[in-house]
Amino acid sequence: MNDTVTVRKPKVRKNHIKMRLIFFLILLGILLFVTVFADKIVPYDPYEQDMSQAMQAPSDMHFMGTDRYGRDMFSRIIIGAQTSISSTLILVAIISVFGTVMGMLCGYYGGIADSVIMRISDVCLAFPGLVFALAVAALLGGGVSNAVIALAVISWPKYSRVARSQTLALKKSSFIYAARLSGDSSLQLIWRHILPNIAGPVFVTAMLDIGTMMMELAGLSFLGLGAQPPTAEWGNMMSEGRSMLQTYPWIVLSPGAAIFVTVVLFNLLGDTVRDYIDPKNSRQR
Amino acid sequence: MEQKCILKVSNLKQYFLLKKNHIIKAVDDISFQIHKGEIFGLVGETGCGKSTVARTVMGMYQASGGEVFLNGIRISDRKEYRSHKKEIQTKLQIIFQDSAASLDPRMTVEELVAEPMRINKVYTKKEELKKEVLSLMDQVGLDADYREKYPGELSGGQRQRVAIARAISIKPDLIVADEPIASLDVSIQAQIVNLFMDLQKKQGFSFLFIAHDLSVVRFISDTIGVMRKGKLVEIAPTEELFHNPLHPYTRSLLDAVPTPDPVYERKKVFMEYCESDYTEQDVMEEVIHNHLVRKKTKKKVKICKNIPPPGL
Repeated sequence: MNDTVTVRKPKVRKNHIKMRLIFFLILLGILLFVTVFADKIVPYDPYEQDMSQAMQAPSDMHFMGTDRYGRDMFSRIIIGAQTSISSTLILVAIISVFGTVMGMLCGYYGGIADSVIMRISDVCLAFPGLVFALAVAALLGGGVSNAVIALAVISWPKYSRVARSQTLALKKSSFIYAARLSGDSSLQLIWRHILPNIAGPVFVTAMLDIGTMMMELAGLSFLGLGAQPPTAEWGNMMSEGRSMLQTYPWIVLSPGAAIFVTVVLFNLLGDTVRDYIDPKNSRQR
Repeated sequence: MEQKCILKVSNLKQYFLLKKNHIIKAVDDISFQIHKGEIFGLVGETGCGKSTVARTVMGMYQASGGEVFLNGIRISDRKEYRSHKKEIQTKLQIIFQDSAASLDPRMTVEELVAEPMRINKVYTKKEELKKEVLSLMDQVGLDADYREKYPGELSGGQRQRVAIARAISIKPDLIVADEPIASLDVSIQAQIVNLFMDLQKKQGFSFLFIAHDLSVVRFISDTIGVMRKGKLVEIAPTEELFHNPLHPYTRSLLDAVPTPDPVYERKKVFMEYCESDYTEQDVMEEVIHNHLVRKKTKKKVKICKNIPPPGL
């Protein structure tokens, strides 16, 4: 009849994950840009009090209204992003690196140290995270850095668990034997063979953890154990406004919305990264 | 003919404690030698301890008893192993059965082939290393285009070639190959076996070749050891073993090889091998020159000169 050849087209989903990843990365880029250049962007000084402007509803002048000291909420939220996002990222960086290193060493060497460290992490995991962090933060006193330390103490076991189980699985594989027989030392083995192979799952855990950690940091601040009042931080901004929720809801809602949007963004990005590095999806890349 | 003895295994024992008082004698009192440039084939049924021998020789397991010498170094001894670690590393290489598991999935072919040389610092300049990697890849029949690929993107035969390139890269004296071809297609098996023989002729390394495929072992080996339940039952030069198998187990093993001749197959009487005839106390004895058989301590094994070779 005719000799046209139909070429099978790849399915439409082909670059779906990559598109999603790029989309979320752009959003994250905007967020980080705003965070880094917050000082340049803010329309008003976030710490300047103006009692005549107190409790203004959102308007043309004040996009998100003002709080009880007449400070511009929009400026405070942008500046608050610096504290909230940077402390969260630092926290996640600390716990993921520390937890992974502990997990790899435990999994690789085993023995008594492994049992001791894993029982300690069991204890940490057995407590509800925020309660334990509250206790540690109360012990150390208020402040952002203390809140980060408190959450770091309680949160690293998640990573050591992931890293340890992955290391245990890898340790018996023959490529590890082969490298050791060729003369790699244990630390070289961990660095060259184990770390690259467990980096994926650990990275995904970290990405998904950013949202949780941000909520917990904001929670500590809300309870008065994180950033202290004059500092603009989303958690304590919500805390300041909570008595006025019914009369002046924007004071609570705007930092709440900021937390919501950021947490959702990081969670979606984490999901997308997980899908992206999943070997099952590698063909779609 | 005095040849340099590369590997000497004497009275090697490897016991595993499973439960309380339940000891598995995976390798029980094995002795053999591999001379320079010799290919020693180790055959036996599944689970008879072939791989355990390989792993113990490589030092993965601490031997329960007996000794392993490599070039006169007692490598079964931990202290002696450690003090000669550098030397042993460059003299001994292994090729595993499962090429997918024996190559790091996150490294490219180039990195994988370069790894043993990098660890042992054979080359100081990066260009030299790269050149050597390409020449090795060429030797094992891998196209240079593959150097950026990851093991997951290669076929089984190609992965095994990468493993071979790694093994020969630092010019070892002895390569232990633990069922290197068992996971490959028959056509690929032939290619890989030929590659082994070519490389062996070129480089002159000795080879401990472990397999359960008799035809392959017959093709490649100079000497064959037959294992049965953790013990060596017979060691003989290849042709001698195939034409004059003395131990009943060897005979039954050779009988079990199917022949593409239905008439012969139907008439074939299988050699019965009765386990209870053989006891713990049996010892290896040199019956004919270079031909060792595990013999009963009291009764003599009948030596029958005129056994027809099984239809191979």
